[in-house]
Amino acid sequence: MNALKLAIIGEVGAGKTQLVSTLSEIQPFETEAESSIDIGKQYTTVGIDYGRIQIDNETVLGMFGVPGQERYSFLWDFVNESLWGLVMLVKCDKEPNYENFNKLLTYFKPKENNTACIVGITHSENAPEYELEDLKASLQTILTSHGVSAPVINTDPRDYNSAKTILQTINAINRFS
Amino acid sequence: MKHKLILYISKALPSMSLPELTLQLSQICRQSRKKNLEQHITGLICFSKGYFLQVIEGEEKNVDSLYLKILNDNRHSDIETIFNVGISQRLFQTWDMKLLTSASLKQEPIFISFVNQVQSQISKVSLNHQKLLEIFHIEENANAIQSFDGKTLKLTSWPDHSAIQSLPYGIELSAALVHSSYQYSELITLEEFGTKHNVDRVLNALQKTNLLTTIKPEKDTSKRRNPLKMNLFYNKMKKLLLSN
Repeated sequence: MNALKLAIIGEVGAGKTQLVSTLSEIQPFETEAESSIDIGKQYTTVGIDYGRIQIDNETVLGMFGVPGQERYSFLWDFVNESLWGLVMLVKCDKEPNYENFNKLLTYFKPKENNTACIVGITHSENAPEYELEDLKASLQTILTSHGVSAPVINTDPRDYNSAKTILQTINAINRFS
Repeated sequence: MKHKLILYISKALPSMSLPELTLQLSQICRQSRKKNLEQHITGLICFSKGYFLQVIEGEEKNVDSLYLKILNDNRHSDIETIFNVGISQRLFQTWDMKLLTSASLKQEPIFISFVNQVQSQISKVSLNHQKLLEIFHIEENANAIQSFDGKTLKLTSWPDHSAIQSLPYGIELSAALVHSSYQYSELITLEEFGTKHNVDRVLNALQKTNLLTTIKPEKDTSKRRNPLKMNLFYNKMKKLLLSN
């Protein structure tokens, strides 16, 4: 059985668990606990979310939703090897955590490792256009500083077609790189 | 009432990390939008390779007053005034300080129109100022590709997905051209991007983004990719995505 890995990384509330759940053919294995602080939701992921897509009889794609905060960097080690793709989810917010985004790029080194990379902006449905454009421009600036040419797209992890576009793009990047 | 436009380029402070700089840039935009609304100043700000480019336009006294503050702002240095010109009407009417990357700057019709209008002035700027403008891909007489025949094509960066997503093979062709240059004839004969009609359709859409350029052909493209290995999983995933 050939198994490929897709890592989905992002801050709390970015939509990692949801994205894994939307794409996975199996009931995702989610590691959640009740949040002790106000993060806008009751439960939060405290480990790795795992989901799977059976490509054919011989091939599966394993999806790993991993927290993006630095204190969970020991979890990053589990997934950062021979990745088929890296999805970085960023929540559209007034004060995005660019420092953390930069650290993730420094750790995962998509350019050096030749990992197909895509950045998905979530919670963008009701965001003012200028806020969204500022965010995209800022993320592109940081990506460029790491030598990474990656698409930055609006993503709704709840929507299957939106989630499928992420897979289509990663697939295309892998084919032509 | 007299209106004017100032375009300047300055250096970012080397002591700031990129995330600090990025956060500061988005904060500057938010703060300046509020203030500029009161003074009715419009324009844009862009950052690339350690340099800021800003355009401000509005009533002469308001623009001069703001520019004085910008000149004394210690968040940047080596400020070079590229254009300081009177204008009969605003060029960036709806942009109350828009933040752009240098790649997206090239795609914006409003900015392209501005560059076309100041073409004669771009040709007269000093060599030093020309070099600064080139950081932001602002050059004299940038020619659009009229026909693709015989051309070797490449994308300078990923286009906005909204420009390509709905086009068959739009994402695939963009991925190919972001990574490598391709001769137009190769894009057709590869048969990976549909028919010639479809390739032309996608290329025309990419051309409108101003990210599609012509370059000198690569000498040897045979080692570009491993067709056998990559095609195996690529085709399986492609088939699965099409079926769902």
